[in-house]
Amino acid sequence: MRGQAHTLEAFVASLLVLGGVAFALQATAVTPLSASTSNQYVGNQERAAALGVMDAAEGNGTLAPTVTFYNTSGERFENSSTDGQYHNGGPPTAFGRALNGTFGDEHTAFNVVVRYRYENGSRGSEPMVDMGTPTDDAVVASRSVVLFDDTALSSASAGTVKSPVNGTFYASDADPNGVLFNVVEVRIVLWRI
Amino acid sequence: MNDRGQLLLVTGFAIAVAIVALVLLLNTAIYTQNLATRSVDTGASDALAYRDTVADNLWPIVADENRKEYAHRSDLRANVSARIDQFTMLSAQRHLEGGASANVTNRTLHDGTRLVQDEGSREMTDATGSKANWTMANGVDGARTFDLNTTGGLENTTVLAADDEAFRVNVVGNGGSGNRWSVYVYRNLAGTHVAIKNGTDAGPTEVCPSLLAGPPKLNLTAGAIDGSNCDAIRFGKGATPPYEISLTYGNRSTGTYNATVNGTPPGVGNFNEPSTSPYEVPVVYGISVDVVYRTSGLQYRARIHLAPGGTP
Repeated sequence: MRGQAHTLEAFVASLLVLGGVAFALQATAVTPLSASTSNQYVGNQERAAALGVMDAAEGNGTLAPTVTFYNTSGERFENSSTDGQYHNGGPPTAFGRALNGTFGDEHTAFNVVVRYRYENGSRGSEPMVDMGTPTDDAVVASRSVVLFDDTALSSASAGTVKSPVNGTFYASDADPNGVLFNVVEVRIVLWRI
Repeated sequence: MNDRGQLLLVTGFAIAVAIVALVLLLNTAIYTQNLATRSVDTGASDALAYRDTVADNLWPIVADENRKEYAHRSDLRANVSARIDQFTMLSAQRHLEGGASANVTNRTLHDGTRLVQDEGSREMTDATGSKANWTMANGVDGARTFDLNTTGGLENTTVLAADDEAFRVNVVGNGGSGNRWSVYVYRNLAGTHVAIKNGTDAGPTEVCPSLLAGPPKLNLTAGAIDGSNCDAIRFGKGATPPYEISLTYGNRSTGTYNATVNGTPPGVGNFNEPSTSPYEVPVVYGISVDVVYRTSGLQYRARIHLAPGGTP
């Protein structure tokens, strides 16, 4: 009888201790994936990496050709899915390959949206890459690309952004009186998967 | 026995509470460590990106207005300002949406003039066609391009008599009172010749004879004859800015020229309005602006100067 009571007490005590440990594990927020203030450095790193990829692309002149990689007669990005977006990674351009190389193996998903302006400054957007719905702790990195009236399309479509041979470009001329065509923003949303 | 059970129970609770407290402390420590080591991102990278966007893309917009050949400088300046406004507005939008103010202020447009004659068969006289020795521009601090393309009608003379007889372009330092630099073009039985008088020389010397075959095309800013390098003919050696640029014996050569200078012609009469040769086009030679970027935690201001290809 007395032995049974001791055993029970020991069990209860151990349950309490284990419960405390379990609670403690729940209370800590140190895993890299949990959305909290303590994992922000992961987001910072992702953002810095994305900015680095964009700055490099800007430097070697591959960012603008990705923005103009547009099939003007089909009115969607060249070789994209039927909804006009890429779903399996970046676009098939040098910048897209750089994005895939940087984030493809790192369990990081990204969406890319190209935002452009109308003449009065209001905003329009053209989704380019859609890899899903971002999580709560997704980060955003963006850079501007300036297009001029004589910027040539980098896709198989002939002509310039202002006057393609066939069809229309997604952005319109935001400064019809000058050589400036538009200032578009390449916006990358990144999150861990 | 009852006392002992209570004791164990209480001890269990105490240990549990102690562990929970320890965990909370540990969590706080980790959180603090995270805050302390977090990179302080004040948005400096966005400010620099904005400055680069302006510095890289503003000049093509201004250069396009220069190409439009406005007859009046006031129209040019108004349109250049409007184009810069629109570019500034469009490029600032994405920063405004992120809570930053981005602007291009304190703009200074430096006046320049493009001097053009594009009729190859015309003599290099002034707009009236009567003056052979005439001033093209004064108060000139520099020239971005100076292409002189002679096509014929050159005087038959020698290097010794060139000062008195040959067609030449003069660049006189100190606003017209200083040393004179000149490039002479003439011909004789031996062929076509180009001679140079540096600001400190007493008279002309023939240069780059091997490059010459017929009336030459001179690029006075790059130093080239018919596209081949001839450093000796570089604009204005030995003369101190501001320059006065003039032609002597303009009636002894036909041809075209296209010069963009940081200065203005001395007044009306020497040139026509576009596009009857010879004509002057008001241009913006260079531009200086302040790029201003402000957020709640950052104030960034940078003065940038844009005047590509100018000679010092």
